[in-house]
Amino acid sequence: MFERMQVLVCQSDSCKHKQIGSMKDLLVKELKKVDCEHEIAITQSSCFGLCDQGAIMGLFPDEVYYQCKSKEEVREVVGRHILKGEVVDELVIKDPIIQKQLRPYSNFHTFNKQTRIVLRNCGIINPLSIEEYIARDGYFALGKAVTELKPQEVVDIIKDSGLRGRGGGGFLTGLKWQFAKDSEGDTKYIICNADEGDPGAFMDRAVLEGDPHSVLEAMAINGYAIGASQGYIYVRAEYPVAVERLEKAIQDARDLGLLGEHLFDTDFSFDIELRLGSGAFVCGEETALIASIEGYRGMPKLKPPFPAKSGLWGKPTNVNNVETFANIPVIVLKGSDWFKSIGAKNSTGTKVFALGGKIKNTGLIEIPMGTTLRDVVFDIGGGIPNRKKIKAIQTGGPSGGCIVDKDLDAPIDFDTLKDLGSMMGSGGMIVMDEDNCMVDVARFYLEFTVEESCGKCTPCREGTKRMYDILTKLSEGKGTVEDIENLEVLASMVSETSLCGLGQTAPNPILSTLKHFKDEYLAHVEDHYCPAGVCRDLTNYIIDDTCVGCTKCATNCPVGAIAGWPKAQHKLDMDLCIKCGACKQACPVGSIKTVKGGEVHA
Amino acid sequence: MKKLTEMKKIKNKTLKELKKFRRVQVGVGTCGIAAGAFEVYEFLEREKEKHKLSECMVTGVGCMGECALEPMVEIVEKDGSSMIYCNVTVDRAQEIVDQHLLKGVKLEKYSLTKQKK
Repeated sequence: MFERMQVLVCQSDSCKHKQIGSMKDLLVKELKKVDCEHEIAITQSSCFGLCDQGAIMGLFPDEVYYQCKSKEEVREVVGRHILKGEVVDELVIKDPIIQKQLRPYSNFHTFNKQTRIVLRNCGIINPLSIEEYIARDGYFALGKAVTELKPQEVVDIIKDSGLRGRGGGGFLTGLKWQFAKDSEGDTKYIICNADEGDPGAFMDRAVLEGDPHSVLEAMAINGYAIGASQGYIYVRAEYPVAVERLEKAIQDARDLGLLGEHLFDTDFSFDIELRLGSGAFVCGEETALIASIEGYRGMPKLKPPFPAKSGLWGKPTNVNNVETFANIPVIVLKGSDWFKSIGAKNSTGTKVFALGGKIKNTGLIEIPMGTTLRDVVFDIGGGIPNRKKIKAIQTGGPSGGCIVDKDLDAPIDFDTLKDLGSMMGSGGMIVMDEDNCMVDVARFYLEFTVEESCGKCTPCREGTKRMYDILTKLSEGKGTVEDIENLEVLASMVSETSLCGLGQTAPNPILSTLKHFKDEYLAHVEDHYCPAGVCRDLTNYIIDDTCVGCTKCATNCPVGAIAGWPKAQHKLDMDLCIKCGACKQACPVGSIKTVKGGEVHA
Repeated sequence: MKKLTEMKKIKNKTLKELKKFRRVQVGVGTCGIAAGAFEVYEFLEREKEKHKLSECMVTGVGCMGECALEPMVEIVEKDGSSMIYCNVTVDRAQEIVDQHLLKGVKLEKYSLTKQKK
């Protein structure tokens, strides 16, 4: 029986409203009266979580939720919405937080899993207007710090908040500030690391473009806390919009006297300058970044001494990432207890992620730490398109690893991600489905690190290249089991002996894919087969007899390898095929399949 | 800046100033610009002049996070209620100006809630 509408009613006891009794019984009775009980499906669900609002029912596919406090109101909904299809506005559920009627349900603030601290102003204020930033309580944190708090008190607030560096390592920011404050020296520096280099990550860019003043304010607060009077923002030249807006923001802040000499009539002076980087990934490493500002080649140094002791031009320096800085003004204004109330125990606050890959809603999200990966992928991200299955989530960019579907319920925080063999990283999150070949993914990241390795230390310079060569061999089907063993040995050697973070973490994509997808590696070697159908040398495409003859594959083929009449099964010429996969993507009925490569006998 | 009171003055003045306008916010982060937000922004500016919409304020804002649905235009009314349009082309912007800004008719079909599946 076809049912045109589905009504969800709560089956739990708390929803048994005293005026109504059992919602289901009442609905059945009412529907019978108007003779449409066969057209409507009644489904009992678990609690909606809004029990104080009366008995709740949800009507689908209209996605409207009603709260009814009496039998008359239920009758009203049946008579007007179910029978006539008109929405009964006065009974639509109210959002418990903003007390406004909202439809559809997914708009509810209660169920919206994002929390915006870092991105609080992004998309709301005009980034070119300092007045609008001030109107949103901007620079009040700086004013409060400089006029009401002692430098040590500022450091204590940050320490107490438990804020950890958002650039990747997750070191406690307050502790870093304390080290820089305790270092002796009359000249100290603040550096904002805006050299965002992970492929697929653009959180820092969004902050710099949407809310540049928050970073300037935080740097000034940092300067006051550790006793520095000069700050540098190291931003990559590939972010021209961010550079332009930062320049304007610095000028505006100087004009209003929020940067410069004697801020708020005190002895504290602070100014900021921009330094443009040319987009070398290694310059995100703090010692390499400092070398680059000093005018040398961007190469990392051995630590210790840490920059907090001897950084820029040998002076004590504090380096923090853009996102870390963007948190600071809010923490100073609202206090560390407020910040601690958000997020997980050892990872307080929120994290911004750039959600990308095989997911419906790509974009920037900011979630409280401790949110599960499942919530991120399926609730916020909207799930995987084209009814594919999720295979893995890659976090941390080229330094991170893969998290597989069985760990989807793990909370996102620094320690859990590390335990799972990945890392928080700066916040790239790439979702992969069954069409992604893990050997190819590892090879992609290795290609990146080979190019970005600065060449100073041998394990990273030579090791990454050799690992890349082995992966290429595997993807061409020329690999042996011994190659996989060598790869494992080489990977752990490079990670143990490299000088800086780039080399130490470069093998992570290999190690984590080997751990979770060894069978896929073995399939490449033993069966000369790429299960995902990505590696070209190991894959052949075929069109099977479910082809409906829509001609889409032929239109999309870049080399004209597909021939066929409309409404007849198409044929693929393997001599011409370059195995780009465009046809498989275009096929609406899934008739194009990948099979083991090699000679085809048609 | 000498005193916090000076800043409070700026804050209150700006807040008061902002309340006088309907704000037409165009997302002009790099993601928006790449999708054509500048064309939409300039078009809206021109339309504002053309129809003498003095109570409207066209302004650029940063990325709202829905990079896949850029260019986005958010119209914030004086009472604070807002409507977000996404995948806005110049043609759609024309419709938004004609219907929403001039007649007050909201175009649900281009709204974020409708387009985001």
